[in-house]
Amino acid sequence: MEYRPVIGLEVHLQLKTASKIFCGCSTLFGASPNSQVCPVCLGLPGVLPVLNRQVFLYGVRVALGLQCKIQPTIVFHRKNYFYPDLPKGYQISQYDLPLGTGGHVVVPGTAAAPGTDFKVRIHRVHMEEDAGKLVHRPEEGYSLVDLNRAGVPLLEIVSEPDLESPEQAHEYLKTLKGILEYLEVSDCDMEKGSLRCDANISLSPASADRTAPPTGTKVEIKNLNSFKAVARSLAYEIKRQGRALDAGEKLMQETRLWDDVQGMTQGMRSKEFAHDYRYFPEPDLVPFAVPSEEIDRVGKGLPELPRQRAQRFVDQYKLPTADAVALTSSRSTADYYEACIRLLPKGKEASPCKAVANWLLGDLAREMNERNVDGIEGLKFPPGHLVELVDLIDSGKISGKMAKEVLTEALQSGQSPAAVVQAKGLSQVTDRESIRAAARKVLEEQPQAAADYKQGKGQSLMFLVGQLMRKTKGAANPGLAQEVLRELLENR
Amino acid sequence: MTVRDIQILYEQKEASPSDVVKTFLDPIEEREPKVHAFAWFDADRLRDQAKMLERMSNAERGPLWGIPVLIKDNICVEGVPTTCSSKILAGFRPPYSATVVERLKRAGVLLLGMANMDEFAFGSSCEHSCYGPTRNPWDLTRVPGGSSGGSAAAVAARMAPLALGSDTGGSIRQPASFCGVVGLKPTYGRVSRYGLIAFASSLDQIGPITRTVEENALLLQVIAGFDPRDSTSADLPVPDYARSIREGVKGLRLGVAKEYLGEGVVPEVRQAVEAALDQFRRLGAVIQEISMPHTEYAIPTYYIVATAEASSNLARFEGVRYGHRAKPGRDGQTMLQMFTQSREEGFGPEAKRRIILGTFVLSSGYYEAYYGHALKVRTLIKRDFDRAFERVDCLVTPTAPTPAFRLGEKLEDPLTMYLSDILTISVNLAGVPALALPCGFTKSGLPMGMQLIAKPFAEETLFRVGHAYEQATDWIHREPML
Repeated sequence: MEYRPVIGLEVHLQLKTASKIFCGCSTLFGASPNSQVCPVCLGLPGVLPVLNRQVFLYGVRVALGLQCKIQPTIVFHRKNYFYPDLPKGYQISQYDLPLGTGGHVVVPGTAAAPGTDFKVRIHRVHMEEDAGKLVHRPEEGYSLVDLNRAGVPLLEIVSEPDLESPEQAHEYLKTLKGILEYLEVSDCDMEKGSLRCDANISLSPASADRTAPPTGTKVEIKNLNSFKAVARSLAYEIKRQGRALDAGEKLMQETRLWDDVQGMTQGMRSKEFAHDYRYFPEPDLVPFAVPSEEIDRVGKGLPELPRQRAQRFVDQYKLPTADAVALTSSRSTADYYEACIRLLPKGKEASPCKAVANWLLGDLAREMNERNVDGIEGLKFPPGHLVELVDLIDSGKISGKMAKEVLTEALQSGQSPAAVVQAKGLSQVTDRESIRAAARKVLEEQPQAAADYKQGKGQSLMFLVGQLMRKTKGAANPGLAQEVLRELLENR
Repeated sequence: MTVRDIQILYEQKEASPSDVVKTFLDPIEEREPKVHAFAWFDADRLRDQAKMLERMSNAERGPLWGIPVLIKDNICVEGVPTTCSSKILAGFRPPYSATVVERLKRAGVLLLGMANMDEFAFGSSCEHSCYGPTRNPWDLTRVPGGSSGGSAAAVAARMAPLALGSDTGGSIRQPASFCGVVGLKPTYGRVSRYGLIAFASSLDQIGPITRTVEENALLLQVIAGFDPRDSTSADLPVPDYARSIREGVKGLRLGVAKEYLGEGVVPEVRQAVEAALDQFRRLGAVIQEISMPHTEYAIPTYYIVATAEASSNLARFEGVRYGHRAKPGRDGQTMLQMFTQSREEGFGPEAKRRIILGTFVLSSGYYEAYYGHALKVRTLIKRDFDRAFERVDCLVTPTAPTPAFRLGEKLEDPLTMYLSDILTISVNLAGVPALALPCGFTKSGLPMGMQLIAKPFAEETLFRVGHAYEQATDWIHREPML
């Protein structure tokens, strides 16, 4: 049978406030275990939480950035369960009155269907505290508890089940991360755990009405450590669930863990998560009304978001929409791009604007991918270097082909492109006489091709140009080479 | 010795804090074995504190300089065992002090020790303590009330001039009544709860237990006020209680609610309160009858709200970070076993009963029927008080329906025990302040108490009314024979 996947994603975002959500402890990542704790986040007897105002303001910022409505009254709830990394025996979270509701994200089309935007509705955005971390020592027979992370502020961003494929899920996450980076409220670093994602997936019959509530059995996938893992695990689940349904099996509503090495999900023992969280309003925090002026103020302070910026790039830099969207999906790339534009010589930006974009989306993107660096800053190739590279080509000092070599070398050595060109003697040969000398040699060596040209086979010229480029090891200016060759052939 | 007596000695340089410590060590040594009011006491540490105080310059000396204060065993004192009189917190010494303790230290007090209590403040008799029961100084076969039984008994037995208790459903007022002393449950938010080991967060308040109303005001003055560490504390100025305390009751409207004098209130107690009303009339107050129609729902409402919050508040005691941890068996111990065995061994029967009750009322499928409903009734009870205070300045009720009962009398019957708080718990549900003070003695010589209730943040009214009554009567001059 044909199925339509129904996918929703839950993203946990660590907010980069200086201090924790309910106490003054530092939120710095990587400190020695239990060095960033106090009676409050240790859950000692008698302590009380006090809400960090910045967490609330960041929360409003994100909720507004995701087009949510803000809850008029802020209420926290206790989510009760026992676990050694949860010092109080409950997590302070939000329950039936989340900070933001009813938002959406517009995701630019996937690679499979470029240019077709789709909308993912945001069900809710809420504030909560993070738990600590367990370090298991199976050989020694014990586990250690590190509570540095306990009380670090989190936003939970829950999408509606609007996604229909692993690719859409991946693009949604990319878009969401882009927006969150623009909002400057989090490092959005999946490796450090400042951005985490759980997925929910069920299958509906392909013929089922999209507007009706989904009927499939929902499976939650945890332990997803990258966007790629999210997509892979969803693809795996679609297959697994599809096969099971085809075989007439009944699926279990359960939580499954993704194993990235084996490339499969595995069911958790259901006992471990069969919780009744016994939510009730947190009596230690007084509900408070959110003044609408406060929301307005945060709203006015929102930065230009990716979609708006992409539109501006189209208008201002005359870029194709696809380029503009690609450049602006990551804030650091877009900032880099605009830093380059500012460095371009005044009055002649038009063509370099496109050239800079091409380099960023082409070679530099590939380099980032190959070197596995996160963000353009990781390449150690400042905007000035890219502008220099583009200028070297533009002024004919090097060819496009040589430029790729120069780039590789510059990235390796950290030298500027101009310095690389100088050091390697890579400058393009634009001297007509030396090209003419080389061209004569080529014509001597390839009499047949020269004769063919004479007899009207125009394509022989390109062959000869290629030979000339080979002889000069690519240093000859290709345009000039062609011109000189034609001249020699015609004057024979 | 009263607080004033001690202060006069200091002012006239006739005694030092070390001398005062000595004068309290004797009665403590003599009476404590009989009364058993302390959960922790360290004479050497007390002497050291006195010496430290003596080194202070006059400018550094706070308003309660050199006055001994006993702290209930659920209020954290840095470095001092603070255990809620529970095995599960055996040996726990907090690395920080409660805000009230910080304020007391700044005021210059001598921290006398920790007072025995019902485990986690669950109880009305001070029998549910891992240290054994406290006894009533007026009759050692009787309970001192609870849960702040140790605090009230120590003040009554003259082992401490001042004490702190905590009150969630009557835990300051009922023992004050049983022991013939003065106890205040301040308005919710008047005193910081930071460092008070929570029983029911929306009901708990720390308050003073003293011999006189004036001393009570003095102690509240020091501990009251906004605390940025407690989001539920009120950001309101604290009035100077001493200034208005002598203004008398002439012209004040005092309300009497029939719901508080119904069946269950024994005749002697009712007569004592009626006599007190006559006294108020003679002092020029106007007595009005009013109605508090939702009083009968207070007990079920309270036992849902309080146990629900308690079940969550007590979840942190699982042996991972502090307190009692069960030893692994021969086959080792799983995480779940560590949790359940530690709690099984560490909590007493009443604590377990309340945790189970609270867990049940919050369970999915039951939440609306119990907790959700209780919150609505709580609003109605609060409204009763709002309406009453449109007509009167202060309500007068008995504090407890009976005088102190015998040890063991209600231990096997939790429901009867719960009913001994019937007159005090509405006050916590409504968040209003209430003062309990002695209003007579039974024929057999047991103290009886009267409760004054005012609108939120009107502790001034309570002190004023209480002080006027105290001045017109001589109950506070009686002492238990020990």
